Amino acid sequence: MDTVNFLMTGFSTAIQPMNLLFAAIGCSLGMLVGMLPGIGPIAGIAILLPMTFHLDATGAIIMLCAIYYGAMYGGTITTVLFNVPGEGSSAITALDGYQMAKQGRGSSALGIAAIGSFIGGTFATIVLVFAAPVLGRVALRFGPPELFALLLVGLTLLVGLGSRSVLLSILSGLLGLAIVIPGTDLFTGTTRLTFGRNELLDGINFVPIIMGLFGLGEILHHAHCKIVKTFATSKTKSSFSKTDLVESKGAIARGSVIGTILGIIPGIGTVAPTLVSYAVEKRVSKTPEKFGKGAIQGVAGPETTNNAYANAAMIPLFTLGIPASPTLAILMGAFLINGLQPGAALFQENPTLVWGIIASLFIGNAMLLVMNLPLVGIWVKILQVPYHILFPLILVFMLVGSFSINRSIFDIWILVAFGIFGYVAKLLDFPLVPITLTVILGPILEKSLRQSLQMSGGSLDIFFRSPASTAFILIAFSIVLIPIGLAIYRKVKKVKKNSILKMIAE
Amino acid sequence: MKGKKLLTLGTAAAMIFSSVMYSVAPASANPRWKPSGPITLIIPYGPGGSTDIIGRLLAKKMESYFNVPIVVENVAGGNGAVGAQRVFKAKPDGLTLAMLSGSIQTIIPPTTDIGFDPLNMTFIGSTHESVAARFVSKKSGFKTIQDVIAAGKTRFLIDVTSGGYGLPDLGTALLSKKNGGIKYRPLATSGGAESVLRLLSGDADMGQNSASTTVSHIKTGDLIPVLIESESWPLLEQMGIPKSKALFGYSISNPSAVVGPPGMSATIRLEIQKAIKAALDDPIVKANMEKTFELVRFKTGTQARAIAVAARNGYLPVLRSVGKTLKK
Repeated sequence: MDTVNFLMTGFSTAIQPMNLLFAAIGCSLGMLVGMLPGIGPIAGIAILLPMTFHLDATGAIIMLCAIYYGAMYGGTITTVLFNVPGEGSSAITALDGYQMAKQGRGSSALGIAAIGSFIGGTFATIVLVFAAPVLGRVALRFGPPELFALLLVGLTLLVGLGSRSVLLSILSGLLGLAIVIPGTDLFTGTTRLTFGRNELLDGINFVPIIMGLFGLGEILHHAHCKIVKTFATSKTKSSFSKTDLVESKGAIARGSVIGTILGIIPGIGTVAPTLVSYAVEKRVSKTPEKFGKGAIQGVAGPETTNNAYANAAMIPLFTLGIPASPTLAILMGAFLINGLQPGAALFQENPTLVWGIIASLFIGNAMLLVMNLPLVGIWVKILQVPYHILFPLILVFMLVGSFSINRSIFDIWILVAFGIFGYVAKLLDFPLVPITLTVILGPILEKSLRQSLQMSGGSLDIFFRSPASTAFILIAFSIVLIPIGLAIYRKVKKVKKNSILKMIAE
Repeated sequence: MKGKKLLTLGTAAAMIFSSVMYSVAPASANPRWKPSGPITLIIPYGPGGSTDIIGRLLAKKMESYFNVPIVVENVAGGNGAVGAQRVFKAKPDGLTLAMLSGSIQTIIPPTTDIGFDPLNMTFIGSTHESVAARFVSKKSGFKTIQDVIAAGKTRFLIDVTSGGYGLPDLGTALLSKKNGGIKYRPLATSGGAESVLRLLSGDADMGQNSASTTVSHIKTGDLIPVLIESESWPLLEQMGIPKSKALFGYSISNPSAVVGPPGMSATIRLEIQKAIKAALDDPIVKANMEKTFELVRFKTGTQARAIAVAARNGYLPVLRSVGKTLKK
């Protein structure tokens, strides 16, 4: 009951006119920065951080939090409409969201994404309210061995993603892992394949890679094929239907749980949860062959997970003072500037402010829904613009986005190089999604593997230290070995049957 | 004669008056150098850290000093090398500056080939020094640094560090050297927040960390400070935590520095230095900076460089003994 009372007090703070205004501003700005490829919530929050020096602490942090989860939805818009993921977490949505847009179902994709984001975000916030301290402690049990094992499951789920050929998917994934080798070794501090270039000291940024592979590659491919690009107009609607909702309800429910659970694990990143969600949806679906061709569950699941993750990631920040991502690290900076120290003591020392912020998460999620549902019809109208007018604008967005990461021409060269690669890959029907995912997950995978081995002194036993890591390792092996075993079994059975039939015939 | 005396007195009075007015008037009222456009302050680290926050606070105040926008840019990479190099190669016209922390000035150049030496940059001033202490988690069972040292004689301790070879690694190397050798394995992480996480979870036994990510856990008792490794840390000194300087004869210096490209003129350098001092003289700005728990105190460019040189020279023998220096 105390928790409910605190929450009600929080709402009384959050619904004050100025705080509502800050939430609205934050949601709008968040969506804008999320839409702009390469900009992202990090830049948005960093730019606005000085403004908060002059604002009341509650209002300042409400606004910055709103930018953070607003950006998660903003990234969906460019992903669905242009196949250019505005955020890394939206990369998975591109698999089906863009296909839906091409089929004239862009409004369904954006509408369901908005609803799923609202439900996922609200679910995670409810969990934050009632279970934050307990879950914060649970997060501590998820160390490098557990993280590695979970990511291993994610890698095995890659197989079959975006391609009919398992071998090509594996090759594509390995290529992605190779791309992340250049950089500075985290453990030794030595440089790897940087060729003396300081731009490579931190590796190749994944944002221009994704924009190149999906965005520029697609533009080049269309120019090559001289396709007059028109999206199916006959089915273009200004909103989604009841059927869409019914078909998505399972994915939304599962996405909420997946995003919330994985959001409390610091260091997992924003992409892994959406990958897990997509893979789960494909596995439980009665029509898995539709995935990659415009399955609405392929949008509903990851987008719900996305926002659930964004809200749940506040749990380790509030309870342990551990920011789960670089964006939350800046948010933590905002807390510090306002004299607040995130961590267990925060709830006791500043209950009014903390519960005000938590209540604003509910309000902000509702604001995003109210703002975005009416806009869906307007966003899909963009698809009516002739492609020869649209694609230069998309190109400008990508170039500006790439340059804005480090103010470096080098990132533009990366965009161009991967754009050419993406174009050639499309011509050869080579899968691009596995590369994208291993480029993002590869560094986390390497880090967690080496951390685990460092902790154990090289022994592999550490990967079986807990029920969670053991279970994930077994699942990963099962995903790989069971289909192989079944294939061998069927082959043997077929050979035996054929030989029996032959004997009978003789 | 009387007229000459009056003229001399008048001239002297005018000189004295103008000197007084020049020194007490706001410096921005009559700077000797004015920027010809916006100034870019590069923070060569990701946003959100203490250097970033202090840099942004400094930039805000300097805007009113110079009456031009000060644009803060985060250019992360190579533990500060990428952003620092951007400034190293810029024109020394006062329009491109960087705020560096200790590692890039002291440890990184002798251990990593970054293509330039930050000590050759124009040191303009310093705003703060980062505090550092060695922590153990409650789960480790250690209460004092002596417990840690004793355990390190019999088994490998997991020492959480911030990646590469940085000041936390140096601290552990010095602790080991001064105590006849301690067995440890470094556990690299992506930064202070993850380091704290590994300590809280019990995955690591000990680690050096600064204030912003540890204070809340010190209050709850989940993290136990056992040794102050910087020159001072007022909060921990009040708790009676011993200093490494007193016990073992070493300390870790992690000073910040506002720098410009090499070859900046003295006029420009001194004017920007004045702007930094003016910012730190503002009690509100200083108070906001101190919310990051760093030791906020102004130093001139000359002092800042001298501190960096002394720190690097002090670390070199240790770096050589652990084989970390570049082979030339």
